[in-house]
Amino acid sequence: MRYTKEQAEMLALLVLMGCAIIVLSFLYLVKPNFTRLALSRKELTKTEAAIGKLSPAPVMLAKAKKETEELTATVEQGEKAVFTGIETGSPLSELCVQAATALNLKPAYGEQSNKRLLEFPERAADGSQATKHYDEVSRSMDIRAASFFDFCRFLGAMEHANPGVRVSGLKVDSLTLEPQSQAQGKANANIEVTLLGIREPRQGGGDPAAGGVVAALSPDVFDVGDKRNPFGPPGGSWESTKDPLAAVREMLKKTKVTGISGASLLIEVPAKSASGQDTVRSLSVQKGQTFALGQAKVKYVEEAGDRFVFEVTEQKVRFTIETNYRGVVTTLKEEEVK
Amino acid sequence: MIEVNLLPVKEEIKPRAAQKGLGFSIPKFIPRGFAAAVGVLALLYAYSLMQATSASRSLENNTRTLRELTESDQQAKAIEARLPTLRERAAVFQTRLEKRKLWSTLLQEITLCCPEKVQLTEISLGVARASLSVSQQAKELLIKGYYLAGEHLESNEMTFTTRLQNSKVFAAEYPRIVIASTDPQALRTDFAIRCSEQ
Repeated sequence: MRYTKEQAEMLALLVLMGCAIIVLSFLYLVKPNFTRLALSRKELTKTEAAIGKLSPAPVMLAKAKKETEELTATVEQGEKAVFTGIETGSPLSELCVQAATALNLKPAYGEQSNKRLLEFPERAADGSQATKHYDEVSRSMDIRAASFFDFCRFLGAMEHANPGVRVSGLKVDSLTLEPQSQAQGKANANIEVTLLGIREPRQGGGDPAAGGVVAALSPDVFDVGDKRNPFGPPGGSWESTKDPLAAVREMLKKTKVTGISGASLLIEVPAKSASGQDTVRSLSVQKGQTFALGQAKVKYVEEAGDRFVFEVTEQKVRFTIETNYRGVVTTLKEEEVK
Repeated sequence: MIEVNLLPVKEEIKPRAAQKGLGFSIPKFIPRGFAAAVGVLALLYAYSLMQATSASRSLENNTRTLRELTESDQQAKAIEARLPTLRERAAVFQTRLEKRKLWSTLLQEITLCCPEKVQLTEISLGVARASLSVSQQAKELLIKGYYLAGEHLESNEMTFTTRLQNSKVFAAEYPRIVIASTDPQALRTDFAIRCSEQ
C-alpha cells in the first residue's frame, strides 16, 4: 500500500502516541509495585540482619529457662531440707545435745559462731519484697575418752538429722600412744559441726525441716559389722556395731507357734546345728519366762488370740507377733517398753 | 447512457471505507504490535506485582520473626538478669548439701579398710598445704597409726592405702591417697597416710 507523505506522518504520529500511552500507562501502573518491591527489599535486608543478630535468642532463652528450672529446683529442694529461723535459738545445739544424750556422750561445747553466707531480695506470694538470708551456724566440741565407734555414731546421727549439718572440722586422737594400750578403742575427738539454714522463719509456720536425731541413730548410720575398732589394740577386743535386735527380729520372723498348753507356749525357733546347718529348736515357755533366742534373752509376756508378745529385756523392746492358722508368723511389730 | 465501473469491487470499497476515518487504511501489523506490546507489558506488570507481593509477604514474615526473636531476647535477658542471684543461692546448697562429705560414712570406710595389725593414733582434717593461697581451700585428711615390729614385716600402711584407694566411697571424696611417712622404730613402725581432694 502506498501512502502519501501526510498519511505516513499521520500514521507515525498515531503509532508514537499509542506507544506513549501504553508505556506511560504501564509505568503508571507498575511504579507502585517497584516502589513496594524496593522498599520491601530494603526492609528485608534490615530485618534479615536483625534476625541474624537475634537468631541465638531462642536458644539462649531455652538455655536460660532450663538453667533457671534446674537452679530453682536445687534451691527449692535445699530450702525445704534445711532449718529455718536459725538466727535465734539455733537448732544446732539442740541436735548436738539430743545426739550426745542418746549415745551417752558428754561433749564440752565451744562457742557458737554465726556466718552470713548470702543476702538477697525475694518477692513473697502477696507481692511484698523482703530480704532473705542464708546463714551458717558453727559449734566446736570436745569429746573426751569416748569409744571411736560411739563418736562415729554421734557424727552419723548429726549428719542424718538434717542435710544442712556437716562436719567442718575433725581431729580424733588416740588416748595413748602406747602399744597394746588398754584404752579399748577410746579416743579424744575435737570436731566442728556447721549447720546451714535460713534466718527467716518459715512462712505459715510448720515444722522447720527438723530431723529426728534419735530416730536417725539406726544401725545403718554406722555399721561396720564385727570389724575391729581401729583405735583399739591390734588383735585386741572387738566391738560389734551390729544391731543387737536384728538377729532377734529375724529369728522371731522364722518362729512357728506349734501349740498352747495352759500357760505354756510351744514354739519352734530357728537354730544352728553343731555342723552349722540351719535347723529348728522346739521350746516350751511359760508366761514371764525368759529364754535364749540367739545371743539375746527374750521374755514371753502374753498371748491374745493369734498374737504373742515377747520382750527383749536388755534392750527394753517389745515384739508382738501375729500368726496364721498354721502358727506361722505373718506380722511382727516392734515397740519400746516405757 | 449507462455508466459502467470496470474497477475490481474490493479496490473500490476500501478507499471508500478509508475515506470515512483517517482517509487511509492502517496496516494490520500496527494494531497487532500494539496488542503484543500490551500483552508483554501486562505480563511484566503481573510479574512485578507478584514480586512486590512476595517481597511484602517475606517482609511480614521477617517482621513477625523479628518480633518473636525480640520477645525471646527480652525474656532471655530478663531471666539472665535474675540468674546470678539464683546461681549464688543454688551454689550454697550445691556445695554444702549435695557435695557434703558424710564423715560417719568415711570413718566407716576407714574402719573397714584398716588392717587388723594396725592401730590408729590420729585422724585429722586440715587445710591442704598446696592450696593455702586459694580462696576455696581444699582440705586434706591425715591418718596416723602404727603397727608392731617383729613378726609383722609386711607393709601394713601399703595395704591400708591400697584398700582406701579401692574403696569407691572413700576414693570418690579423696582421689589422691599417698603414704606421707613411714618411721620404723625398734618396737613399732609409725606411718601417716595423706588423703587429698585434688
